[in-house]
Order: sequence, then structure tokens, then C-alpha cells
Amino acid sequence: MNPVTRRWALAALGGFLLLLPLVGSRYVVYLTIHILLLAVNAVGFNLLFGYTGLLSFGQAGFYAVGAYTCARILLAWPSLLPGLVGGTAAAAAAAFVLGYLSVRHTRIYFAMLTLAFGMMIFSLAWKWRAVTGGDDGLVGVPRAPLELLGWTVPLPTVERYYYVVLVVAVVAIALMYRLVHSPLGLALRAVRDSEVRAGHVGLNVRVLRLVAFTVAGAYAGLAGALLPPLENTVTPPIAHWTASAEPVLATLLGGIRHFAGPLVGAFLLVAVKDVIVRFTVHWSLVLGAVVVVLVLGFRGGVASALEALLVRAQARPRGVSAPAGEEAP
Amino acid sequence: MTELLVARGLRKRFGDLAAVDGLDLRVEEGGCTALIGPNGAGKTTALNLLSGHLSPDQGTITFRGEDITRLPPHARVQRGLSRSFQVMTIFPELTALENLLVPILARTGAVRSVLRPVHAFPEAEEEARRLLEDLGLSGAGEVPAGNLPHGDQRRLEMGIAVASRPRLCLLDEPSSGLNPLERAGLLHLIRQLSEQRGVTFVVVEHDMDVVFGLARWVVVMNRGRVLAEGTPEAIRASREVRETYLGEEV
Amino acid sequence: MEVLAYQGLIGLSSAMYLWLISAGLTIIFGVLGVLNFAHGSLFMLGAYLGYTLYGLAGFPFGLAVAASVGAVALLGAAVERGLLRPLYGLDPSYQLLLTFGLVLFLDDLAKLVWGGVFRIPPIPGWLQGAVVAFGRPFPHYNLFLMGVGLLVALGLWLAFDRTWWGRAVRATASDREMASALGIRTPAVFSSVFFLGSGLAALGGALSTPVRPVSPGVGAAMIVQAFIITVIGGLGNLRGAFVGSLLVGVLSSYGTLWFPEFELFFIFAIMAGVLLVRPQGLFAP
Repeated sequence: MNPVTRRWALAALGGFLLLLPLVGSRYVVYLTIHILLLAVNAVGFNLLFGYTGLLSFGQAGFYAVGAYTCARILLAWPSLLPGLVGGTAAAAAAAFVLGYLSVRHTRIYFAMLTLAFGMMIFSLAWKWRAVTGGDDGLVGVPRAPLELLGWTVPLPTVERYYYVVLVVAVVAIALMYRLVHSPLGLALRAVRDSEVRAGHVGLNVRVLRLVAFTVAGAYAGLAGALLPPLENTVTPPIAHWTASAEPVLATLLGGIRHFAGPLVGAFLLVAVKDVIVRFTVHWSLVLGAVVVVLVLGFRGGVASALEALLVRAQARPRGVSAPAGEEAP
Repeated sequence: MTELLVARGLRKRFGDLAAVDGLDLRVEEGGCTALIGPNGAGKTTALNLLSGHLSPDQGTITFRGEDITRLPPHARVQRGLSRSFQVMTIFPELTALENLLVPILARTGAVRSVLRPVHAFPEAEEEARRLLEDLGLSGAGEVPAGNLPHGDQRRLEMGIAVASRPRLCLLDEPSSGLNPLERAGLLHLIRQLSEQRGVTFVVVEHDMDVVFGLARWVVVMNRGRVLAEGTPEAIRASREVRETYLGEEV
Repeated sequence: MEVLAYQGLIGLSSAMYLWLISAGLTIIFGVLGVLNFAHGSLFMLGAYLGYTLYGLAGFPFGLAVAASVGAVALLGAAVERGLLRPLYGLDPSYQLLLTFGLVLFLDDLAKLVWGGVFRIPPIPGWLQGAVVAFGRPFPHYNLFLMGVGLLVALGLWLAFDRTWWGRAVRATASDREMASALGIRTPAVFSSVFFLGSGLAALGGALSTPVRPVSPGVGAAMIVQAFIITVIGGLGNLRGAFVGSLLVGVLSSYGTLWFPEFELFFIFAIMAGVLLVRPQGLFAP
């Protein structure tokens, strides 16, 4: 996609998102908030998986840390920003500590470690009544007003909260875009392509992996922190390893080799799940089948398929070398 | 002549096998030293120990006066010691240009940059392009390295090691899999890089043309330690060496 | 003290389910290098089929178990051939993702076909009754389970140590290319290993029908415990899996008695601990 087309497409998308509460129903706005949350979560996950080559089955743990921390803050101090910042920071800290322990291990052991850690967080959420409310969770979490620079903006409606989420999500995604196109992003891709060679060109592989893991944890935590003001409750299932599947599936669906892949995937996952659920309660079945099909046939995900279509549509003759699209990392 | 690298008493076992068994090696600055020996002599293990890929059971390695025996590979690269691999170890999904950018950015510390795009480092990109040209790969900059033909990948493999601006560069069978024409080209390239960039090379090789056309000094290994060393002519004349290589071309 | 010993016995017998599922998981990993997320779902399918044949259709218990094992074993081999084999050269993450997708699919499929939780059918007549152990009744069925577990352990040991097939499998596990070069038909070995592993998981599931209610969630619960056991015992280490199963079974049993609050946490903490300190497992050579 050439830069001019891309700019128009982004502008159109931006416009649509800004006007959504005016044209869409409350339910659509609610759903879009969930898409944005998943988009932030997934884009963080893909930094770890698509760019650094590390598969984590424990992101739900950090999501939960972000959600529970924000909820507890809001229950004591009803101001939105401290909740969001606190939740993200707590998740980042947890990811740093757990990541420090995990990154020296090879990929399969790393994946299993993330699973174990995620489930440890789940069991804490479920059993530690004093802090997390146990299996009842935390209830009555207020949608606290946004207090910034002396202004207080109350958020009584979902539509108002939607704009807050939109801004936060856009900023987070833009920052991630910057990061993956920076020298650090290039270094992460080198670590993914060849851990051995990366070490032998002067890169500290462990430190780089820890950075990626911490950032991914922070993003999961941010997504989690945005949840309590929306739902007014936080319960343990959000920390279970089956919930860790969400960002994984979204990324796989959208495409791990494109920056926009997780974003496209987040939209598809939420939208498709919403549609499927109207016809059958067995959306997991469909999702599982989709994963199998994707892994076997379309490992590039939807984004790669779309790119291939665009390439053919533009039908410009290319040289012998493989096309390295601008979007491709 | 400064001593760049001194290895003393290196030993490395794999189960019952002593791959490296009391290796003493001295590399002086300048030109090219060849490391030859029959299969199983321990040459690649020696390189793995020198580059930090493996840790020795015993022995020390000193580089430019500093003890680097326990340092991980990335720390050795930062001190000016790099290597290439016999089995192709490029970054396949990165473009050829990016393959060279990574070591350059790592060297200049630019990797710490999180929010500035890669394009904001024109000096690094310029340096990478110049190296691409020296490697004869100018046209292939935007090609994913995994898609390059074998000969080009071999050059890139070496180029990545050189991009770190090492004082000492270890090459593990750089000409493996190349046809005679490509091999001659590679020889020329190593010589050129050595002269222009002041890099000292240690080259593990089986191809004797490469060895005698390139090396100032030859070290012969057998059974995990040094059998003989000397000028190419002296080694060629040595009966001991010839007996070890019975059946191999000398 | 008697409570301790009795609870330990209970733990040992429930460890047999864990052993059957872990044995299959660790063999598959050791030979194919695949970490099969869906192994718990195979256990669950074995349980559902066993329940359907024995509890609903009234087939004799032995026949029901055998048929369940056979069907799921065939399914496992088919999955290996059709779905996993195309992924062998690629990044192992794809294999993990595929088996993960299978978990979603199979667990929900079970919900679709069989519905929710089921009653427990009666224990077959010839296995009813109990002995007295440490002052309490210890069911014959538990003894039966322990017997089956030991037989399986013995059988696996004999198979891998004495038979031609076992040697072919061990050769393939240690060096795939060399085994192939020696004339061993590695694709057939892979399928047979998946067949065996799936069958073992299904055996565990089918044997659980007379004592535990079958539910779609049992697969997810079992796979996590099986992971923990294979980590403790060492991935691919069969002896380690056996000892690990006994350990986890007994510890869980004590855990439910004394620390019901944090049992889950401690189990995962142990798993994480082993992975951190000795990732090759506590029983690796």
C-alpha cells in the first residue's frame, strides 16, 4: 500500500472511529471498546511473538494484574488516571520480575514457564480473598472521572468512556509503531531470526528479550486496566490460561508478520465471536477450527492475504527479488 | 607485532569425547592465519570456545591483554572479536542491508534507541551500504537474506562478522559450498577486507588453495591440539603434516 | 498418622490417571518433539466414549474401555498424520498453536455432542467392594487402578527395552535422520507413537468414568497437571513421568486435605521452580 493510500485509509478509519458513538448503538460502542482493548493487548503480544520470537501463554496473568490493580486503586481513589497508570505499572513490574526468571530458557521451556506463572497469578486471583475478592471478584468499581491538569471530566456514559479508551489505545499503538521501527525493533527481529548470531553481533539477547517481555506485559496490563471502569467488576476467569488465548488468536488471525496484523485480528476476533454467538454457543469450536486452518494453510494471517491481494490488484511489475512491503516488519 | 589473542591449555569434553584437548594458540595482529586439520580435529570447537559460544572446561583465553574466558559472545564482540559460522547463520527474514545494519547499530549503541526510527541513523545506513558494495551485494540490499543465492549468503555471512569492526575475525569454513569461481572471489574479498579495514583473520579451512593463497601463518590441529605451525611453505614441506593428512589433498 | 497413610494411598491411586496421561505426553514429546496441548482433550474423549458405551449403552466395562482406547488412539494417529506432520520443519510455536486450537475445538465439540456434566455410572460388579486400609475402607477399584498403572509401566518398559519397535522408537527419538538413514520408517514410527500416547490418555479417561463425573473441563484440568508432571520428571523421561505422577498425586492429595486454599498455587510454583532451576527435570541423568 503506497503512503498516500495509507494516509487516506488511516484518516477514514480515524474519522469513522471518532463518529462511531453518533452513528452506532450503545452495544456497538461497547463492542468497539473491547476491540480496542484486545488490540492493545495483541499488539503487545506480537512484539513478543512476531518480532522477538517468544511464545507466551501467560499474558492473561498480566492483564489480570492490570485489571485488579486498577480496580483496587479506583475503589480507594476514584480517579481514572492513577488507576490506569497504576495498573500498567504493576503489570510491567510483574512482567519484569517473571521475565527476568524466564528469558534465559529456550523456547519450549519459556512457553511452559509463562503458562505456569500465568496460572499462579490465576490461582492468587481466585483464592486470595482479602486482596482480589476471591471467586466473587471485585465489584462496585466506579467509572471514575478523568482528572487531568485541573480539569475533571466525569464519564457517566459508555460513549464518553469510549473516547478515553480510543485516545489511550491510539497513543499506545502509535508508541508501539515507533518502537518496532526503531533500532531496538530491528534488534528484536534479529534475536528472533537467529539467537546465536544476534549474540555474536554484539546484542545482549537476554536483556532484549526481557525488554520485549516487560513491554508486552505492560501492554497487557494497560488493556486490563481499561476493563474495570467499563464493566465495574473484575473476576478471576480473566487470568486463566484459556484467556491468554485471546491475544494469541487475534495475532495469529490477523498476521504475525505485519504491524497491523494484531489490530485486524482483534477486530475480526471480537466481531466474528459476536456473530457466531448469536447462532450457537459453540464459538470455541469455530475458533479452534479457524486456528487449525490458519496454522496449516495461512500462517501469514489475514494481513498477509490482504497484502497479496493488494499486490496483485496494483499489478506493478516487480523485480526478481521478493517484495518487501512497507508494512512488513 | 602485537599479540591479539592467546589461548592456553583449552580443554573441552563432550561426554567421553575430548574435542579440544590442551590447545595453545597465539594469534598476532595483521594478515591471515589459517587453522587446518583433518575432520574431527576440533577446529570448530576451538572457534566456539574462542568466540564464547561454548565455555571451556579448562584453560584461559586472553584478548588484547584482557582475560575473556568467561565472557559471553556479545561482550567479546564489543571488545573487537567476532566470527562467522560454517552453517549459514544469517538473519533470514531481515533484508541483506538490515543484516549488516544490526551489528553496526549494536556497535554504536544505537540499539538503545526506542523511539527514533532506524532511518534516523544515516551514518549507520551509509556504512552498511558501503559494506554491501565491498561484498559485491549492492543490488541485493532490499532482498530478504533467506532468499539470496547460496554464494551471496556466504558473502553476507562473512560481512555480518566484519560489520562489527572487529580487530580479530574468526571465519569458520567460509568457502564451504562454493564453486571454484566463487571461492576465488571470496579469497579476494578476505584479502581486501583485511587490508582496507585492518582486520586480522583466523580462517578454518579445508580448501588448500584458500589456505596457501591467503595465509601468512598456518596452524595445524589434530586430536584437539596443535600438531604443527609455521609459514605455509614450511607446513607444506612438513612430513608430519602430510602423514596426518594422508588421503587429503595438500 | 493413619490419616496420613490413608490419604497417601488415595493420592497414589488418583496418581494413576496422571501417570497414564503423562506417559503419553512425555513419549510424544520425547520422540516427536511436540508438546501436545490437546492431550487432556484425548483423556476427556476417552472418558466420554467410555461413559457412552458403558454407562449409557450398557456394554461390558472391559469392552467399553477397549473400544474407547482404540477409537481415540486412531484419532490421535490421524491427527498426527493429517495435521501435525505438515508442520514438522517449521518453528515449534506452530505445533503448539495447532494443538492449542485442537483443545478449543475438541473441548467444545464434546460439549456439543454430549452436553454438560454427567452422572457417574455404577462401578462394574467384579470391581466393587473395598478392603480396609489404615482403619478406613479402600475401594477395590482404586487397587485395580494401581494395578493397571503398574502394568502399563511394566509394559512400556518392556516394549521400549525389548521389542524391535521400541528400539526403532528410541533410535528415532535420539537421532531422526540417522534412524531414517538406517532404514527405519520414521513417519510410521511417529504415527505409532501418537497412537500409543493417545491410547494411554484415553485409557485414563475411560477408567475414570465409574468414579468421576465426566465434564468438558476435565481435559483442561488434566493437561495442566500433566505439564507439571512432565516438567518435574523431565520432558521425554518416562521414568521421571512415573515418579512425577506419584509425587504430584500424593502431594495433591495432601494439599486438598491441608491447604485447599493455595494448593493450586503451590503446584504451579513447584513447576516454575523446577523449570527455573533444573529444566531438564529432577530425574534427568
